[in-house]
Amino acid sequence: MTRTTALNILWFILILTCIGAVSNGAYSIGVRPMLDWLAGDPLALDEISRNVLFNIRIPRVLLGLLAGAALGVTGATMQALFRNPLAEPGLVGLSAGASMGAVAAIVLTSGGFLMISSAAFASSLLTTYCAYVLGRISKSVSGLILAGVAINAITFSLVGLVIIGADDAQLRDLTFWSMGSLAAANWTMLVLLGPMILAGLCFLLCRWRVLNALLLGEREAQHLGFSIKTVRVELIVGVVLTVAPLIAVTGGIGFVGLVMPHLVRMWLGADHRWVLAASALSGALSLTLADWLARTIVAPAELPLGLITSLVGGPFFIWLLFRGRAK
Amino acid sequence: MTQTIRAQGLTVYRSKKRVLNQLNFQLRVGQVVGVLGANAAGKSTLLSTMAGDLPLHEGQLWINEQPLCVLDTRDQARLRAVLPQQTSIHFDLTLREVVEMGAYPFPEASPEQLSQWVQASLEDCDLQHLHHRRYQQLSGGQQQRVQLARVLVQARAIIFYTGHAYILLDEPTSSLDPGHQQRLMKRLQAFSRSAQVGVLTIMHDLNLAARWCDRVILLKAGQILADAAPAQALTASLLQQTFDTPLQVIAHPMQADRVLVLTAG
Repeated sequence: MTRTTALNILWFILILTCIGAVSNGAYSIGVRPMLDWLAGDPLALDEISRNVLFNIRIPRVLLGLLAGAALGVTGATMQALFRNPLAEPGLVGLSAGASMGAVAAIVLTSGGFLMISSAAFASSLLTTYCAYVLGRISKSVSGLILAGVAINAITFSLVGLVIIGADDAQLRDLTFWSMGSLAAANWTMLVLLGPMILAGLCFLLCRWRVLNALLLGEREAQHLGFSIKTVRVELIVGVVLTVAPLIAVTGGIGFVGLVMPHLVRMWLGADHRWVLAASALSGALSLTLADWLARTIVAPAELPLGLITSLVGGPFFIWLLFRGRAK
Repeated sequence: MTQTIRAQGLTVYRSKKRVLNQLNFQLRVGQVVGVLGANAAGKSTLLSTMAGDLPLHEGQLWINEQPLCVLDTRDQARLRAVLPQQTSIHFDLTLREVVEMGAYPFPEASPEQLSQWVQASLEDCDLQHLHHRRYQQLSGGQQQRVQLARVLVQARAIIFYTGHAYILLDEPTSSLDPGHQQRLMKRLQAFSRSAQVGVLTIMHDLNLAARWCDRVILLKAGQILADAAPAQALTASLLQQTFDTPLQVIAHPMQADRVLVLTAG
């Protein structure tokens, strides 16, 4: 199977999944009526179905696609930048920063979705910037990892400090935020975040040469004409702008950025010409599936999305590791 | 425009210690220049400085009459190719994917051009039969040849766009068997002569240098002891000074202008 075929298969499954995910849920619309309606039969869907479809399902699935693609691509980017298959955006303090902002907003202000996500966004930019500035002390990108570890530790201790002052309701909000969800999806959010995330994705997808060169080593990448200083700034900024706005509205969604690029590399090899696109598609696919599960498995209630991705992703990752060793 | 890399009073410090001291030399296109010297004589520092990895503290390096320091990373990659000593890859790439990276400084190159450069370079390194293998599954010597093929692709791309190129190699034959050592040096020499390429290579095998280099530079404690054709530079007394060990040089039994170096005692 060529790698183009592999991408086409992913596209195909992704489209099928999207059709399933928008038509199915706590209020079932059904695939058949929806397709009839799309084909031009205005009576195939009633008022409620149309409402659910346009104001709830479609925005939610779109946000899932964006988030999944962003997590997949940024995960793959970080893994190449650090030449470490276990790297992910959280490594430079991004997720810790977002949760610090969210916690601060929930506990110290009246809360509210806009407040929480703006605080999470601003705070994740701040922590990543701190990690970046600290990491610049060392010439190699390994300095960035060390700085990231330090910033993560400091940020989590600050989160702990703020949590001491939280009441029970706030603690519940916090827990749910940290487990991630797409439930807040709406068109305004998509219009605001979509272009930024898509721009970030395109920017990173065009960087496949640099990412491949980095697999040889930083010095080798320099010899091939990529200034490591510039590359480091470009890639970190690209990753942050792609993923920070998402984490801010969805909360923490674990394992997609780690597992999907890993799986893709096992399937297609490590050439980023394919890895990036396939990580985007498989990230989008896995998150759409996970969200579909999250909102149907205990319907009409909902499981937190991050819970599902970690619940499935964790054991799956262990299986991957053991499989890799057995080979 | 003179096609040389020229060092003038080149001086480099590493953690306050002077590693290269007032070096003057030229690397012309069409020549293979071997750099020989004991461990810590400054060979790798010299190569890294020429590759733009390390700053130079005094003197100047000129590529084609342009100071190296005015060229950015991309400009340099479009003038010279570098083979570092060891490259380990922890990700699953095929041999061909690694070799193709040599053309990354020239994203404008057409796929046909690229596959032509890759083909020629794989043949130079005896890799054409392996080209779909995974890099990680290759032996150390094969991996070294893959990295050399990547450097040759970069050199071919540079030649295509500018007419000539420079190649800087850090012990390109260290993991190769004697057959491949000879074949590769022979092809490097042929390549440098036929295609306007200046090759500077760090070596430890004195006889390999004697056979295939047009010039050798003997480096001792950051200074040049000799810079001449192998027959003039590889003398018993110069080698003894360079390596602090008694070495014997004899005339090659079959070729009048060549020498062989033996360990004495």
